[in-house]
Amino acid sequence: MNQPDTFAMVAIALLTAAVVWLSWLQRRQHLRLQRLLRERDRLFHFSLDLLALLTPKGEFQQCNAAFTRVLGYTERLLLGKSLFDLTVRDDWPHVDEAMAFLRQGEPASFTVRMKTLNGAHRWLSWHINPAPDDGVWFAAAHDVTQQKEVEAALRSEMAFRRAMESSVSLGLRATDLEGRITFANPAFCRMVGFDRDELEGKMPPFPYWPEEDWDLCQRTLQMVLAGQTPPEGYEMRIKHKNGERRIARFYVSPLIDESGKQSGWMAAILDITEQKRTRLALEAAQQRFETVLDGVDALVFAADWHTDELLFVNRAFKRVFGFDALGTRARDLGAPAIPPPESDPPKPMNTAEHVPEGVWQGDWQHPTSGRWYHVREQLTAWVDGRVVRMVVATDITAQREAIEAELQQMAQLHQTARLITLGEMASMLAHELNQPIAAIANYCRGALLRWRQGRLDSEVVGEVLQKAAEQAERAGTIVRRIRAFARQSAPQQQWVDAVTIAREAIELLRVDAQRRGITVRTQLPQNRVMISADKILLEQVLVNLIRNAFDAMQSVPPKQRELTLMVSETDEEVCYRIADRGVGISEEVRSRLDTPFFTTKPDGLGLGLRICRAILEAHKGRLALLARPGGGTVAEVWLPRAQGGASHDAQG
Amino acid sequence: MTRKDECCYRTVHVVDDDDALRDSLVWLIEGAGYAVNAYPDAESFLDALSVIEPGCIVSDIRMPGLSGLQLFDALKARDVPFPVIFLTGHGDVPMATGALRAGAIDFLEKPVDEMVLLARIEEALARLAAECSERAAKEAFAARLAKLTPREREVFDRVVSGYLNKQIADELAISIKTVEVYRARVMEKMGCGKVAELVALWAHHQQSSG
Repeated sequence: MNQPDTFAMVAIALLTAAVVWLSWLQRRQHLRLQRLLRERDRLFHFSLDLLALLTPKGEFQQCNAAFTRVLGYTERLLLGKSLFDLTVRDDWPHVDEAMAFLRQGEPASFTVRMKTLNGAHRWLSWHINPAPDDGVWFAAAHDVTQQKEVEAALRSEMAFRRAMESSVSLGLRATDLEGRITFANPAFCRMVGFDRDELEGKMPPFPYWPEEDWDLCQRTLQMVLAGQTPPEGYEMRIKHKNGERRIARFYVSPLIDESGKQSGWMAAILDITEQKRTRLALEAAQQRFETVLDGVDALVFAADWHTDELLFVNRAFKRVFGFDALGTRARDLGAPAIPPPESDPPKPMNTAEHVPEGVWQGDWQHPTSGRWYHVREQLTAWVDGRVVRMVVATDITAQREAIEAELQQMAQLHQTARLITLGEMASMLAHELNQPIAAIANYCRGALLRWRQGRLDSEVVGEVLQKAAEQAERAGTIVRRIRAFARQSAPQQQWVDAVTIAREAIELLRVDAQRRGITVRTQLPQNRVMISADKILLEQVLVNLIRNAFDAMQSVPPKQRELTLMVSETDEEVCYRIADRGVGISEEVRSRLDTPFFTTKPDGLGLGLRICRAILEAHKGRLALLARPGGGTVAEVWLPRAQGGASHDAQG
Repeated sequence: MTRKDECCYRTVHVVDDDDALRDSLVWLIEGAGYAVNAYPDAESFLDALSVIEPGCIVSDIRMPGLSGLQLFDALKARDVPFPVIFLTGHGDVPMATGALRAGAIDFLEKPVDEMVLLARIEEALARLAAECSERAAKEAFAARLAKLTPREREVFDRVVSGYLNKQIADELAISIKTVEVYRARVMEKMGCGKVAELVALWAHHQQSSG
């Protein structure tokens, strides 16, 4: 063997050794790496924190079991999903932001809500480190859900408290047993205008005590500390920092601490300035209202709907129903009442909230005075909240009388018209009847003329006679119509008071008399004088005769124009006498008085006296026109008295 | 010249709205020998006025449309000299009185007495004749007067004023002889024989046209 061989041998041996060593080294390295990886995987899998390897796109490459525990997904489900897939959509911006950092190779931390398998979500706080060399991001997440929930609850609780404190208008003030203010809420601070610091810890006198009321406030505080405040609270004037005085109502209750020991007093304070002002205004309004109602003529009262107690009556009401009416029951007094219509009776009600609207009204007569009232009745809420009947009754007696008088006058006018028509009809019928009679006369005389001259053609005679006969028939028809009309206007007799008729006749002509400057006197018996007559027709006779008397006085001096109407009675008869101081009736006129259509008046028909006579004849009475001693005429109307002696009593 | 004209008019116009009355009036008045025209209302009578014979009118007072009185007024307004006799019913008395005052011949109450009616008709026709002849005479006189020459007229004026021929000659500066010639011509043209007659005619003419 040679030396180079040895060298070669050694070299080979050395090389071999080196290779072995290197490979051992490598192996050791490999084993260490493997152990490291195993260690890491163990840590990875058993870590309570959520750990994951993410691709640079944010997709899960590997994740530990904590994910399954927290979110419910198996690893297999998670692999390939991105962070976005798991994050609640609302929180994506946070993820976006983090991704931007990570792409630039910087670590990122964020807290987002991740969707769980069961549809809920958990709050996860992520820390992600990019490892650009490895091409992966190491991500660790921590479940912070519980923490988050507590935080949220706390936040809402705080917000609620804050809202309560600042929104409540009820002032709260706590004092300790010595009277030191230990607490003042914002409402109370606002009420008095002082900051909390200016109030809390203060001993009396408190800064919100008005100087003028210090004594009172002091005493009140003593009362509070002695626990003697009334349960309905007390009112006190308080001073605002700006000097304004307000009125507050205090409700005080003991303040008990958690150990059950009294630590002070808690007062709830209500600012009642506005309420008080409103109430005062209301009272003033009520006062004014009553003053106004006292001034009106209408009767006004308010009665409790349930008890019927009179809560308000005005002066006019008192004048009619007595000055002690207030407090009695409206029904007992006989106060006006209009029952609600049966179709719509109001339902029983206890509160003023559902008072039905609507007014019942009607006319009501006072039973004793006989006066008429128009009554308006309404349900309304009284000042104290009770339901009351508000009744206003207006005296309408005068209106009613006026209306009745008007109606009466209308009726009289109507009857007058009936009489005027009677006269007109008579004239018209007379004219109408005249036509056929005149025609008959003409036919006859025309025939007579010819006959006398011997030139009456016998053919024509028949024709003319026929025509004359037709006209006679026409006349007959008219007469029948007159008869029918006469029947229609036949008197309708009733038992009536002759004196009343006289009064009404005079009343009808009063205006006429005034216009003509005629003084009218009456001499009427006090008692009733009953006769059987058609009231209207008889009245018309009187009206006609009185008018004639007026006309007769037209041309005499005004001083002389005087008319007297007398009613007198004998055992058998009743007599109306109408005496005037007119021109009288000349013998020539008297002789023609009974001629139909004879008249001395320029616009007269000559029917007035005829009609009067006709009416009186229908009543079995008579008319006499006598010259009056001293000038003028007396017209006398005589009518038979009522049989049965029902004349002097007051029968209706 | 006057009397003979009286019997010229024998026509009566009956105006009445009542058929029977109108017919009977026609029968009655015809019986007395008059020519009768009948009209149911005043309007139809006025319409026919231009073509009818002059005559007297027998009219109702109350009629629908124009009343008798309105008819009367209308005739007066047209200067128609026909006399009117009104027939009235009851109650028309004041109306009829007014008509009389306005110049109607008469008013008669219905039913009318035929003797009275016929007498009134006769009277009315006579009045119409007189009126007509007077109008005719007046027209004739005026026509003759118009035929005089101016000189003749001058002479005429003085003659009727009662001047003597001498005075006329002096005034007109002509001879008496000449005046006499004119005077004779005037008398001839005016159709008068005597101066007294001429004066009377002149006076009448003056009076009725004044």
